[in-house]
Amino acid sequence: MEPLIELENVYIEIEGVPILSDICFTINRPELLLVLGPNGAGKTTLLKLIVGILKPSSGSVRVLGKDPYRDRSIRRLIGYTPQRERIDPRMPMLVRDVILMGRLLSKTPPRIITYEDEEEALDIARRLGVDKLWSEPYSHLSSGQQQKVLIARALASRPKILLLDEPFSAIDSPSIKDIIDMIREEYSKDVCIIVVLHDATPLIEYATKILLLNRRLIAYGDVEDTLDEKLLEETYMRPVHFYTRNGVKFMGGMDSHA
Amino acid sequence: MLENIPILIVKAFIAIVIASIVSANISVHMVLRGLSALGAALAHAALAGATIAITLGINPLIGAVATSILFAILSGYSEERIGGRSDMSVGIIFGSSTAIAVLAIALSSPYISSAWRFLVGDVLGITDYELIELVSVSIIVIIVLILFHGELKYTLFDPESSEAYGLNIKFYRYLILILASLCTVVNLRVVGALLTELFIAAPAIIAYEFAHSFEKLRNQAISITLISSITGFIIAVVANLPVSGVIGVTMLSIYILALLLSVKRRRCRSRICMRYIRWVFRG
Ligand SMILES: Nc1ncnc2c1ncn2[C@@H]1O[C@H](COP(=O)(O)OP(=O)(O)OP(=O)(O)O)[C@@H](O)[C@H]1O
Ligand SMILES: [Mg+2]
Repeated sequence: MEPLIELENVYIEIEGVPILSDICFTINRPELLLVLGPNGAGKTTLLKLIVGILKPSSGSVRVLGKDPYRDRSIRRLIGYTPQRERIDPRMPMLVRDVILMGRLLSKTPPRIITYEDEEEALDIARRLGVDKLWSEPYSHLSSGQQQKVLIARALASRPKILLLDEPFSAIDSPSIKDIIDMIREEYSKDVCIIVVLHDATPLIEYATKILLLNRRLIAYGDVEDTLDEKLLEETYMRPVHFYTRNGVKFMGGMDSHA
Repeated sequence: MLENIPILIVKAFIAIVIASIVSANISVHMVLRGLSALGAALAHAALAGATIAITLGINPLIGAVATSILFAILSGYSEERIGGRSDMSVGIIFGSSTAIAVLAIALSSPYISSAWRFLVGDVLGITDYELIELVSVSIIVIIVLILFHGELKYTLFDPESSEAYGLNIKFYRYLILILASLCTVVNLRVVGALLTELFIAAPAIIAYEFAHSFEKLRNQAISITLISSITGFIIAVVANLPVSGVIGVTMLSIYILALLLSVKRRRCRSRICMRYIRWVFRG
């Protein structure tokens, strides 16, 4: 069977500045992959390459054997949740509109929302606990609620591959727990999930693969092999430690204030 | 009593209703995309085209459509080049199209009255043929807006994710620019170049004060435009004043009323409106 995602010698520069180089990795079956790296490491750029918004300057990106930059139809199988800050909150949109965006745009034209689509989208909202906000303006929501709505939007397109960019930034622990539960449930349904984080703590015990990134691929592999303090120090350019408290693994030292 | 209403008033009324609906729809996209100022530039481009066409003896509609679409595409292209700064491309388009319009009007001196019709609008003088043209162009614009409603709305809200779903956001941006040009041409006949700007920006700017969803914004923009243009039209006809001028003043009064009543303004000063106000007072 074709690999789900395959990057070969990917190099990308934006406006003449090299952003990522020598990226090589293959995902053969659904994984829960964490992409870790400091600010400016190129994590978002990597996701954009996978979803086909950016084109590699050299090398190749394949999603289910197709180039997502050229073959727009393959992008419909990917659910992409950008960093929340990238959306202009002044746009007049209801939560309903935002979630149905995923459903509508994953269709082929003419794109029409049916009653079933709406029911399904509402169901996803219920799983994430945002169904009560269905008719609220998106701009009135808290950051945690907005994040859940954006994840619901990605799920509403029934993706085979789910990409989440910093889903836990500025979010309190009950909401983090809701999102983690949802990620685990989707993973159990064979959705391949890639989560970009700068702190692995919330998902470390559920991850099946880790990718360490800082302008180049530092390591990719199973959790035990990659979460090595030396590799982490190379990634974050400062000492990173693991410690266990009450049986829960923590990662510390990646942020200067931690 | 209906049969006592002169046919030219009925025709003018139809033209005004249609132009209002089209303009309100387009204004929502233009304002949310930060392109409200482009309306004036496109109107001047259309005026230049119409005047040149009259001088050359061609149908002015064709001239107006050609130049406004050309300038719309130029503005989209230069915006891409400058990197998303629409105000800069608008400045250039505005200046050059006004210059061409002035020249064209000067050169068309034997036809100066026809050119004047496009500058201030002449809805009471609209011919059957012009009304049919106007209705056809409007129907095309409305059909395209309905067909691409979801795509246009979502590429506006979150272009990056729309692209991630495989939409070509450039296509939709140019599509809206082209529809705006057609809308400008419709308005040229009805309210004239000088007021087209108001029609392409004000409806959504007023509605933005109250609406929290895209559809509500659009529906309120349509209602606001219909109310102000029908009221303005009646006042103008009864008081024997220029139609476009009265409609403009009516819309302005509604805008001031909206600012005073605004729900959102108390919560957060909407930058879209502030930007527009600044733009108006600078000019
Ligand atoms: N459009 C762009 N133009 C110029 N430089 C860019 C562009 N996009 C990204 N970069 C640069 O590429 C580098 C990586 O950016 P990227 O957003 O991928 O990092 P990141 O790992 O997601 O960071 P963060 O944790 O802050 O989100 C940054 O140094 C950034 O300045
Ligand atoms: Mg990022």
